[in-house]
Amino acid sequence: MADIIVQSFQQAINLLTSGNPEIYATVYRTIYVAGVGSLLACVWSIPIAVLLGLYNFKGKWVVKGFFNALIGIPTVALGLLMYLLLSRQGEFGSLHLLYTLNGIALGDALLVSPLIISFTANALGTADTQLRDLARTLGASGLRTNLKLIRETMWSMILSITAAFNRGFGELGIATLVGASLLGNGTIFSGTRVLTTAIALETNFGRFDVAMAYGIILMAIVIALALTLSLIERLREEDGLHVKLTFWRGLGGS
Amino acid sequence: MKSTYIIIAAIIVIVIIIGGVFAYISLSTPASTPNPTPTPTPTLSPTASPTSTPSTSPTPIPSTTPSSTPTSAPSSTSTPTPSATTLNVATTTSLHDTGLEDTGINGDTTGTIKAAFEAKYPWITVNFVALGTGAAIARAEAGDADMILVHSPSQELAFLNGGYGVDRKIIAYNFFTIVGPANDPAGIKGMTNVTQALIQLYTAAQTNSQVQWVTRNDASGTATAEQNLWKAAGYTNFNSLLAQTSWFHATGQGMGASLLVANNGIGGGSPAYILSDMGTYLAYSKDANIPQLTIEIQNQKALLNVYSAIIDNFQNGVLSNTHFYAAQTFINYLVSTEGQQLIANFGTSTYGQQLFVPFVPLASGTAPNATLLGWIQSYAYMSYNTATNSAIISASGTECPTQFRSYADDMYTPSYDTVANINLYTSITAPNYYSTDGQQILLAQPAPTLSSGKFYKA
Repeated sequence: MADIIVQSFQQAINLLTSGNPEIYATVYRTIYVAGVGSLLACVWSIPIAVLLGLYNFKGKWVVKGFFNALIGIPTVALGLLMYLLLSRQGEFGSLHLLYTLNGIALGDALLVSPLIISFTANALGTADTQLRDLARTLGASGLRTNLKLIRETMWSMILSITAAFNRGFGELGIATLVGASLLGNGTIFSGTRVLTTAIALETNFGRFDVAMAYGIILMAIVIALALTLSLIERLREEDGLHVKLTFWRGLGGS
Repeated sequence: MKSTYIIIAAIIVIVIIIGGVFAYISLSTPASTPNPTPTPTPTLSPTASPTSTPSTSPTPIPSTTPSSTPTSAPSSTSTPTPSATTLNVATTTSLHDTGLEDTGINGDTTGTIKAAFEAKYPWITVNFVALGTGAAIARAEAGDADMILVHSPSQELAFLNGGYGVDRKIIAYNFFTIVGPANDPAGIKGMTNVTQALIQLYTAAQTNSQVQWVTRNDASGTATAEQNLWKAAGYTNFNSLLAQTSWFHATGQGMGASLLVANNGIGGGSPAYILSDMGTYLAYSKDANIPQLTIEIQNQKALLNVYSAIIDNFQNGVLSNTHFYAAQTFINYLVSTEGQQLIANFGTSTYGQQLFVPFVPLASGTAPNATLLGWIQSYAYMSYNTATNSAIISASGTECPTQFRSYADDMYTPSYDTVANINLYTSITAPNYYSTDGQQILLAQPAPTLSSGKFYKA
């Protein structure tokens, strides 16, 4: 079995250098559904998160607990629900989203919404307790305080969106049930085969090394994304430090 | 205290909302499907028989008389080029997972059905949704597939009788195989009576803990075939077999996953026996994924595995948006000489063995084999029972009773170009045995005389 893992790294390189447009399309499709899905989710998730994070109302903990629980929703369960709704006989069958990338993206958006809401609301809540009083003492209005708080938690929001992207990137249930893993002809919108369904399919064929190779490609992209974000965060911190130092020197400090 | 009430009320509301959504979905799904009234499509036998009788005589003419060339050429050019259509085919996994349909072997898609068909009919994009037979039929009944490619006559019968399918056509066959550990603890290797072998295996399993059996039990065609085998052996209550968990293991998974379970043995025990389709077994053996399993029994009548294509019945209201003409074009391609040869040759160079045997050469008498044809007829042919108003499995029937044919034209006219030397099942050696365009007359016929445009809907 160990040699299969070694082989699969070789196989991953072979796949990427083979020049087969369908393999690149598979990668692009995965990025497309996860990206569009997370961005779409932001449209409604961020306002809800702001509402949950910055405003108090009765029974807020129930709503927060509800969203926390939904983070763990099984992708196959949501995929099945999406299939029933998007099926030609389903309630939204007229949208013709079944077996399309946009259908998967919509499913991903629903899948990752609770994750974005919970993480962002928590970050806002934490910042709220620390900063609100300070801002108010300094004379900021209610709206300005809230805007300031949202700016302060921007980085946490980006991280939660990244986590959402990764969940959409690596999910299988929705892509299988809504997308059905249709083989394309090398262009993005010609098929619905994404990396995870390609892994499942190759496993069915018994070609474990190729399946593993797709897994390696998937992980490489996820890791690359995470490292890039870490790098940006690090640069941002250094930059902030640099600004502070200049400011300090400007005041005559050493 | 007050907030407690609010919280309780909120929880109740949420539960009601979730419950309501689920109840709505579960209630609306069967409500929206039509009553499965066994109303077969209006029989078109009067229109079908006149067209089929002349079509048999012109078929040989173009190859002999030059005068037919001008007549056939305008007919192919005058065929209006339809607008782009996407054909969704719900297909059984055992056909799909060999790579025959679209994926190919080792990523080489040149010899696949998708590549060949789309090259010939560029306006049709064919997509394969790989599912078990049960799930494939469910998708077609919901109108989410335009046709099915399956291998379970009893389930096909229910699909036809439910008014969901028309124009059933047998495209290929092969045999299931019983595989098991090389040391064969049940001693069934090479037996010719499958019923006897299963009884012997059952008896051995009661005393010998090395005798294990893995079953898929996932409503697939293979699982249905296996249950029928156990029934034929006298074990009519499949649930009582499933209850014997000391040796009878149900995976509920696909063929490949189940083969792996059988290969590894349960709980580190002896490798298990399992019924497998030939394609998946060969594909897994080739890559040395299942070194413990060898073929115990094969090529028996009881292990016959017949693949059929059925088109959605567009005259059933729910299925009115399905692409009938594209599906019929696809099936006509599959049973053409070119399509049949493509099926026959697929995988032979990789596996050293034929995976699927084309049916049309056998049925048309090009490659006669009365025994084999008799097996297939008694297993998968259907006739119409006027008393119950439904189709039944019957050796005296046809591939599809006329009551379930819709605009079939000469779909059921046996036609296959003369083959010099075709060796059934083992291998086909002559790759050039068909004339280049032998099937053009059949395939280039204009669209059925219906409200035109309906079937071209993208």
